[in-house]
Amino acid sequence: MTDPYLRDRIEQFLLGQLPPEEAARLEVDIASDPALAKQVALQRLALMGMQRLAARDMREHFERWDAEMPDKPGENGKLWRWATIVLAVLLGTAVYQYQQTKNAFQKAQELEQRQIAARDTLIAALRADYQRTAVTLDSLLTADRKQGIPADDTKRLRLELDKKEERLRALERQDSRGRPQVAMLAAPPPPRFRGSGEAVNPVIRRARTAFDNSDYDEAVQQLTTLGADDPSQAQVRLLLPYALFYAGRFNEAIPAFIALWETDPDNETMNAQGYLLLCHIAVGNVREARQLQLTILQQPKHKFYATAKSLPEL
Amino acid sequence: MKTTFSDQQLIQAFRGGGHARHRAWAYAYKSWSSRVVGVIIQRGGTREEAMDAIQDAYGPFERRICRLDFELRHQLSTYFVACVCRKWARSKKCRHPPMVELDDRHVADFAESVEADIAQSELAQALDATMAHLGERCRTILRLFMEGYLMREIAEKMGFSGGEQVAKNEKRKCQERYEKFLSEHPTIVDHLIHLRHD
Repeated sequence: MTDPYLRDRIEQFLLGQLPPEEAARLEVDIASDPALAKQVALQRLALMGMQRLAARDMREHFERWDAEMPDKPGENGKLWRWATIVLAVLLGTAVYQYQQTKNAFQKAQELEQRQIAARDTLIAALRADYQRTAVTLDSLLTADRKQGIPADDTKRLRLELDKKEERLRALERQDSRGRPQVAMLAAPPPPRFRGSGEAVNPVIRRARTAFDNSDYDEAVQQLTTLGADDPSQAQVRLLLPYALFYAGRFNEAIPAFIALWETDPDNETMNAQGYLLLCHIAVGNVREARQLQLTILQQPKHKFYATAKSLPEL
Repeated sequence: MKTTFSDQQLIQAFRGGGHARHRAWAYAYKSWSSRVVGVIIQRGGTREEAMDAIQDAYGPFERRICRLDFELRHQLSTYFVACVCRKWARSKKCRHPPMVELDDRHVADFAESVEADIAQSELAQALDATMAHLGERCRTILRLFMEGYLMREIAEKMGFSGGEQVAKNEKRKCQERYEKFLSEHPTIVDHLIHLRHD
């Protein structure tokens, strides 16, 4: 065995703990003494092996400290990268949806403007026609007094004039703020009734078939043939409001939806509120529409929450 | 447990070894590893590569700062990050130098040191294999010695009733046993020396 003193010196030398002068002297000895050089090589390898023991122990500590750290180094970066990607995708989808909705509403508004312009043109034409008829009537009445025109012609003209006036006033009464296109665009797809049980009454069966075939006017017609005391009125109350709505008869659909709401408040409240909102928008009942919109927006779980939120300013 | 260390306190703790060294490493690892991983990921590496580089670099880093001629020219954390990045860049044979490149001789000769060679995985595996020939008790004593524990502390940990002197004798016997094993297997020694000089 090697002298313990020499072993300690070699160890200190290898660990860098030997004073520089002594280290230099030992290096000279090593260079001139092969046996000493061999001993140094062995001790160096032994120390390296021992360092490996310490390194493996430290690795375990690193792993433990790593597990103790709430935010693992480097994992945040990955999380952020994924979060950014997901956020970008969501943002892109939201922008796309927003653009789609915006375009749809723009189209609806353009259509509506065209409809309003057409109505105004019609009113102008009717007004001109009315004035012409009035002038004719006036001249006939004047002539009647002078020449004795038959009373029937005068009467006919007066009736015609009354009808024209009535039509004109009806057209003018229509609120120009009504937005039937907006309501139809915002409406969900029509419900399906074919699968909702077998109808005993053939009228109801036909009405359902018509509704499912998108023939809403026919469905309304079938349903209105049933008497008020018909045992199938419950089914009528369920189907009629939707048929009226999708037939574009919003004014009539309003009381029908109110009746449905009152009949089955547990199941139909959300649907009735949503469709009533759309009906009021369609006919231009701004105050009622705003009130319903507010009610729906107070309930984020409401079936029509997204619809109410996406509606243009009322 | 102390929550913060100054650079000088850390160096003193590393040089002191034992429990103080252990606490210093716990603090240093938890404080610095995020920065190291961040720098390596920015250079195109992965978290796993960064963790491997830390494992490989911590030993040479510690021995370097324990040397009496070590001069601290930067923050200790910056020096550590530079050492790990250099180790990572070397392992990746990266064309581009790592971002943290210090003009410091302690970093400059870091990768060429004897300690750096130890980190070569083949040599490390060979050394691990030879160390397996020692008993668990011997391996623990030698590991505690390399971790800087005092002979008195090793005696306490190992339960030697004779105290410091017994621990010292046991350590020497274990070390001689390992050297004897090596000297009886010259081919292994040649292989290890060959790997060390590659």
